[in-house]
Amino acid sequence: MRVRKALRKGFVPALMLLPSMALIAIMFFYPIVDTIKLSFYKWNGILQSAPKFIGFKNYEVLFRDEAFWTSIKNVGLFLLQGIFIQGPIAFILALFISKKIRGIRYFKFTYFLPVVIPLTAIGIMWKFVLNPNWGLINAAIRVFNPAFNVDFIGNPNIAIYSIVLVSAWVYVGLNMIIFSAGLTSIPADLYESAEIDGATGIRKIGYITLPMMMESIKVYIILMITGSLKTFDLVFVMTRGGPNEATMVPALFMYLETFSYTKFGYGATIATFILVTGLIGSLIANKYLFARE
Amino acid sequence: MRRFACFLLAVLMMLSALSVVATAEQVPAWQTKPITIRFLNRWAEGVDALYGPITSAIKEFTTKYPNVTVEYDAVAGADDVQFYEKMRTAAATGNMYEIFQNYGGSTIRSYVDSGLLLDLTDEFKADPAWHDSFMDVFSMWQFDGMEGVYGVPFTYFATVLYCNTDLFKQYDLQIPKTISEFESVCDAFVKAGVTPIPRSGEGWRWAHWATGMAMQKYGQQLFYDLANRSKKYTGEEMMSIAQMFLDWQAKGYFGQNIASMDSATEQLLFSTGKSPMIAIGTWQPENIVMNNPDLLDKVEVVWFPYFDEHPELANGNMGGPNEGLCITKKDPDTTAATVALLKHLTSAETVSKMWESAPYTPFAITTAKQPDNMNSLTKRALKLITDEKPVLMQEIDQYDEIAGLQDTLRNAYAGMMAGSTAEEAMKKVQDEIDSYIP
Repeated sequence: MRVRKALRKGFVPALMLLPSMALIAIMFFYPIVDTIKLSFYKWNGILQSAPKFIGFKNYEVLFRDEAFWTSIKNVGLFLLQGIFIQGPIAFILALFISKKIRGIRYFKFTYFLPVVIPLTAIGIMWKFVLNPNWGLINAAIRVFNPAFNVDFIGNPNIAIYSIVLVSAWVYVGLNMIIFSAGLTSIPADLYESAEIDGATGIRKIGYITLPMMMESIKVYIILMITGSLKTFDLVFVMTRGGPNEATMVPALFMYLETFSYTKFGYGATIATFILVTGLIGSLIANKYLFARE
Repeated sequence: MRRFACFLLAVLMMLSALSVVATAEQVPAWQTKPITIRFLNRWAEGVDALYGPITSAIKEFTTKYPNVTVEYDAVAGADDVQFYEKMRTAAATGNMYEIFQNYGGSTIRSYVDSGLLLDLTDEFKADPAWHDSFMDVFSMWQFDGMEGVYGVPFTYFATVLYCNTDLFKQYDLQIPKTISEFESVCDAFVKAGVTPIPRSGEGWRWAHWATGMAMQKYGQQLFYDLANRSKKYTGEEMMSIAQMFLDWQAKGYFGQNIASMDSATEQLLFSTGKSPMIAIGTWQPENIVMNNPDLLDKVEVVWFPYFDEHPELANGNMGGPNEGLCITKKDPDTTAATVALLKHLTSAETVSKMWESAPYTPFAITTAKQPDNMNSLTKRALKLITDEKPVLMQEIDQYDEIAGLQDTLRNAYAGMMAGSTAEEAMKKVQDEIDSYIP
């Protein structure tokens, strides 16, 4: 009787949730399961051609593939850039725009502008700017040093650093907003109490601002981890993973193996790796970063 | 009398109704029902001169057959990577285009193996005149171990060397005939501070050139040996060609920062008279016409210099059928309509009109009339091909069964010109072949 009553009580809510759950299952879970399944097959991407089961062979090949390890190293570079360049700059800009300064809206808009420009346009723009023969940077430096000629995206030794810095330029505005939201949620009386206790500028930031912003920092780190793994557009437009796979990233690696080399099973393997790594990274970040009261 | 007149009228009416029925039965079904044909091509609006002519030809067809809708989809781009990605995506979703442009060979082999493409043998048997209207260059749409012809050649090309005669005269140099003469000429230009043959770092540029060099140094048997695995990309032959490119790069023949130079810039440098030489397909005159038509008469076109030690292979080069068209098997009526469209597009009348609008693209339809307004440089390039009857082979990877080998080879060459060694580049290609699971 009680069970029947409970079921009847939950029936209508379940029915209401059914369409959205079905949509999530179809649009989210089904592709994930299908991709993981495909990673155990060899398939040339023709629907009429049956996939061939090969077990863990794709994974064996993946972990022996130099391009894969290069892409992992490059993800590491994006993460380091996020921790040491993008994060600190975004934090400083957030501190800046949270002040009541005349014209602050103009600065907010300017810093945020790269975020709203399509990444494809940004990639093409920076490709022109970094061109060794007639790009803005080389031309500007040649005013002082006529012999200067650096191929920022054609030199395999430095191409990835160029792209990483462009990425920092794009996303610093977005992260500035995330940090700014965290800053504005900190009660002002905490700072007042700290001032009474003798805390000044940098100590206030260290003892109040940063601990109280842990949730924002957590969001930033999770976005940085998942964003680094998903990086695609900028690299695709600027270098397509070259020169010599020096700028390869996992998402682009997956795309090229799937659509250029028609190794759909192998592409699914890379996709599965990105999914699992992203999940693990997010779980770790979530577990070990928490807001201190 | 009235009854007789009524009877006669009834008979006449019945006879006319029967004749309509008889006539209707003669009209093929595809001409009476709504049909949609999706056409994937590389000639895009605003980019290719042939966009206008081909879309006009399609319009002619749909005006004649108003029940047929042709959706034209084009992906431009010199390196055709994005074109192939679109094609492969369509195949993966089971929604392959009814008719699509391609270069044949390894890039479509897997579609043929999967039974996706229409074998045109029966069409040729039913219409031998149509078959005979093409140049006999069906090789890219025929495959070892398989019967049938799975596409038709549409355009034709050869890779040649264009030389700016003004620059050669300025530095008192002769057009080279052999590799040693070529190197001497290049050294002289480098000494004078002129980049002899600026070249883009795009992979396809090097894959094309390597193909021509392979033909002139080792002959076409090498292509088949690589495809049947009796020779390797890490073998002496392909390694020597790769190393030769690197040696030339070190001598400054191609200029600086080639990894960042695209093929459009490379073509423009020649067309605007800034570079002495360009080794490229017979499509270069179009670029000159668009940018600097005065240069046309100051350019000499020759075959790329042959190897001094192999004069017997001087007649070999890269070329042959260029763009071709294939039909995907669909329901009988759609397939029949697509065949009709293909015949229309490759008819002498249609190609002659297209050729007149874009008189720098050699078409592989022999019955088409060469336009009177064809520029002098294209005429001379075509004369080279027709007079000297070279042995032409398509890109070296096209004879393999691995669909992605073209991209692998091109990327390996691009990587090599960006800094890896010849060994590293060829090893990448060979690793791809060795790890291939049939």
